[in-house]
Amino acid sequence: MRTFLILWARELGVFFHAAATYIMLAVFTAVTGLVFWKVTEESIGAPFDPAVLLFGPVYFWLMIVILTAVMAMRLFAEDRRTGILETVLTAPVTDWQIVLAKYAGAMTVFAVACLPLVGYPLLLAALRRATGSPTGMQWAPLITGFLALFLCGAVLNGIGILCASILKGPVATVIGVFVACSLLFVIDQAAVVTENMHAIQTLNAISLTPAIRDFTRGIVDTRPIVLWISTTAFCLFAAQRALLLHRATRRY
Amino acid sequence: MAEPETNGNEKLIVVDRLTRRYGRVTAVDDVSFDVRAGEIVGLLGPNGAGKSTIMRVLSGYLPPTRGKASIAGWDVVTDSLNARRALGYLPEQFALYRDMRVYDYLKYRARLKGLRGRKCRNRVVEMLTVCNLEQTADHCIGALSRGYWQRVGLADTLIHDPPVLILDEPGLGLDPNQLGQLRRILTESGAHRAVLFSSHGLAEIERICGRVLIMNNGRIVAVDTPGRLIERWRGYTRFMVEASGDISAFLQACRQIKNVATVTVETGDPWNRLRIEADKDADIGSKLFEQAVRTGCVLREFRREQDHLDEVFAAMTAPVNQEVG
Repeated sequence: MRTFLILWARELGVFFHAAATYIMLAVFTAVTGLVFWKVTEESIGAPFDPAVLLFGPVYFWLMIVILTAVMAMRLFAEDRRTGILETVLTAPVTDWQIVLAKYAGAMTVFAVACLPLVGYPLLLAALRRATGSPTGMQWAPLITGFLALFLCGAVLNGIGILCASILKGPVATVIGVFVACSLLFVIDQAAVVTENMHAIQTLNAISLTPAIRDFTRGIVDTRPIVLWISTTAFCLFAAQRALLLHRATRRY
Repeated sequence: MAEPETNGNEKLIVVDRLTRRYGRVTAVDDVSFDVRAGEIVGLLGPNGAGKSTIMRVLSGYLPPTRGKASIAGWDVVTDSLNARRALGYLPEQFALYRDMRVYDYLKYRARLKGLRGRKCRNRVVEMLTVCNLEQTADHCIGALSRGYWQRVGLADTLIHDPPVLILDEPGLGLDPNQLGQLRRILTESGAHRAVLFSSHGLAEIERICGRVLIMNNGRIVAVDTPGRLIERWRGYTRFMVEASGDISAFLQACRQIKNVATVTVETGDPWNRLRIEADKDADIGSKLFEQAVRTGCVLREFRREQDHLDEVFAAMTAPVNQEVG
């Protein structure tokens, strides 16, 4: 545990010592804020539902995918490029500790990036209260929406670390993570090409979009939760195996 | 030349019939050797000979394709974590976190290697002193020169006081003063450790190492002390003489000495340089001197040329390999 904490702290150091991280966080906050403002403005007169306003727009999830892809670039690709990976792998630490510390580092940055999002609906509720509009805040969909955001973040960062451990360069990692994560959001659209109910159900179960829709309505379904946790665990396991493979097949 | 030093005779590095392949390329082929406590062993070989691969296998970074290796009794594959705890490893292309300060980096590495609290802080300060890094302790690593990087790497390698040191080209990028410091650190720290280090600086190896392994094409082609290797590979005894006077008579007399193989001369005014090669181990020094006196030559310089490890290295790792012992 102690070794994991030391490695995790170092990962955070790597992220927060880089100016690129602050630029990334600023852009993410600005774009998600802009999207929220625009959607809120367009929904004037419609029933007030802050969870849908926040988590509904496709641009919001596009920013989440981009954020994950950019973070993944800094996980293993950078370490490989600089040679730090050899320094770390020859220290008395296990591959699991390395993978988990990198994952925890990425999840921490993800959480920091998402933290300002909590303020948007609160700010909106305060403004409505100040202008005398009925607040009508439904807290449950907001809470379940944030739960979905956290769990989706766990899955996307899991995919990020897996791609980073398999793919060689930073650019390949960014592209790989972006494509894989985007697919998870749109794969249910493939249901239009089939009439097979099993296929349609499977695609809907795999896709993140229908489950997120449910969560933002306040519906908590345990099936996607189990699927997301399992997917994350699989990605971490595969990343650890990829590290072993990296050692075995390393060429000079 | 120094004989292998042994303190306790414990084998701390053991490599047993180790083979490592990269695809179809065999980088290390059936190599066996050991390094005992108190021994400093130099690993020599041309680029691509397999030195770094052996070190990477010993460090636990690469698994062997076949064979076994152990560090302080721990198998590098099955007890990799314990083996790495007993090892200080400096890779050839040593990478550091550029965003960290030297002190913070060493503290981070010390904690990663199991040091805690006051012991950790004391050890970091001690290593800063040993590796001459006190002045740069608060400097960002990214702003340091290559030489300082090597020193930080060396401090990192020594920080947990491991019984085994494996250093891949530790002198890379160091100036002569820094090389002297490295030599001092290795000699002092190697007194109770097993040290395996590779270098292209053959003079360094000759000075520091008690034993040398020469590799070529993935195999060990020679193992011995530098002195014995030179003795074994020296094919002739060479004298350099600077003389003036009746050189043609002196040349004639030299050629008639028993065991003299060749005599070459670079004429000058008034000093001529003679290069006299005789059979291996032939002691012709006194006879040369006698002939110089007899022919009335005046000598300004008279010395027996010492062979160095680089000549042995060149002979053993020439493109047409001569495999020995």
